[in-house]
Amino acid sequence: MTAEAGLDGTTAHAGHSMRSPAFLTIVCLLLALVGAAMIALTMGAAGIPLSRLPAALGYWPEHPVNPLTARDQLVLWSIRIPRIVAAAVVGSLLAVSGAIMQGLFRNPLADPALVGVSSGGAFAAAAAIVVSDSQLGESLRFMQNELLPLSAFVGSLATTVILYGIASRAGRTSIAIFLLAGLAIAAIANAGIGLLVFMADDRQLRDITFWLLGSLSGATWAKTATIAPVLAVGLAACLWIARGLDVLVLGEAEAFHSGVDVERLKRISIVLVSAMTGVAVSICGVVGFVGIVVPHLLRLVIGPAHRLLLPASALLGAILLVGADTLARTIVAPAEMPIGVLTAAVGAPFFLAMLLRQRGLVSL
Amino acid sequence: MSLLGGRAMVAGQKTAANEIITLSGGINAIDGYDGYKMINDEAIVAAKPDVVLSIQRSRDSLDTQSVYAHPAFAMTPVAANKTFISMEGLYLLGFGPRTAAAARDLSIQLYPSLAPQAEKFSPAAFTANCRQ
Repeated sequence: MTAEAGLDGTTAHAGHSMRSPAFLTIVCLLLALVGAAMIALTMGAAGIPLSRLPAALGYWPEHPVNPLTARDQLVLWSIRIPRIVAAAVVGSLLAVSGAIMQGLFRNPLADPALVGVSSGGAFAAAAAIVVSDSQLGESLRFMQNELLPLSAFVGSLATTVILYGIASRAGRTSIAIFLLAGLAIAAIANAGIGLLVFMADDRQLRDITFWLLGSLSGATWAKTATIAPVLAVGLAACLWIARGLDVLVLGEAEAFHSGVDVERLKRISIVLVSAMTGVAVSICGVVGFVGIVVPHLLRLVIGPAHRLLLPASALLGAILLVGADTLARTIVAPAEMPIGVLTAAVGAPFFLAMLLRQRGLVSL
Repeated sequence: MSLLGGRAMVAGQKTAANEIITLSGGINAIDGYDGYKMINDEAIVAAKPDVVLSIQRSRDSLDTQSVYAHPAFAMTPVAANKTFISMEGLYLLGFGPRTAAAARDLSIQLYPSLAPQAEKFSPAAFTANCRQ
């Protein structure tokens, strides 16, 4: 619900004038993000009533000190807040990588999940789950907690390197081959996951299934701190490649003749996308749909200019995932809903509605 | 049940784990859902478990530490009293002839004061000679 409220607010504002100042959009999205985070802060299975929330956050110390405040504080600062922050960061990462990929491939369907980057990461994670109980896992014991995120990241990165190797020839990267090879590699990775599911025992099977569905459960400050720099670098690089991506819409040759170093642009974009997707997958498993819905929604509202689209995608992605994660951890409490189910369930109908409303106005 | 990348999978009601806990005189701290599900971290804090029971795995000793270090379990009596128990999966959850012995072993671990009494109880399955 949070995400939808946020989306409504922003689209209503920005929809009136297609050429409204960029900062208005950004400010609206920022406000919506703060709102979503606030709502997320008040909800959770540990049940901290609103009256105790300010004290737990450290504002106006209560005079008859409530014995529960210490517990509230612990719950907020070591469980709830890191998770909200992680959701925002992961949402931004996924949305921005989706936006970059769609710009790069000049294809509205491009998505890290589509070209196999996510599948590669998921395959590596599933392999880590199965292997970690075997003899080999025994020798990797010392890094048991890091093994899963690390292998997911390495899997995503390796997939991209292989893809890039296949698609590049004599210093030129063929985007069409990249896309097709990506589909093939995704199929291979999925076959590998199928094989691992077949090999896995009862408990590993459950672990793999839950990993594939994605969840932000288990997000800690330490994990969030490892992915936040990637987002910061990614966003900074976005501003740099935004113009190149805009020109690339015209076609590769046209972009080249307009003075854009197309090959370098492609290399940077591919590295960015794989790093951003890789760390996102390593934290929360596969969360689909954010990378494809968010940039499209924004293109419908604020137009396709990447200089605004990329930062706005980061914000809207954060809003969507914070909202979806709040639902994921509350609606079936004490259990936990896989977040991938929710991003699709919340995102897809909204996206369809936008498409139907704008049909005819926009040609995709 | 398992702790994977900081995510805890916990047995709810209507599971073999719930039955063996009940048989040993314990109470499953999770009564909000059926089956094995991924649990919300805050719900772990809210459930205030006294003991964490898990099936034994190859990397058991490390599991113990990661349970105590887990942000949610760290706030429960489990970490304070260091009460992580692990038992062989088939023995604990197999529900065969050894189940009575498993329930006895588990209740000794849950309630150490019962140990002298439990020593006297040895299930027939352990002493019977099935070849006769």
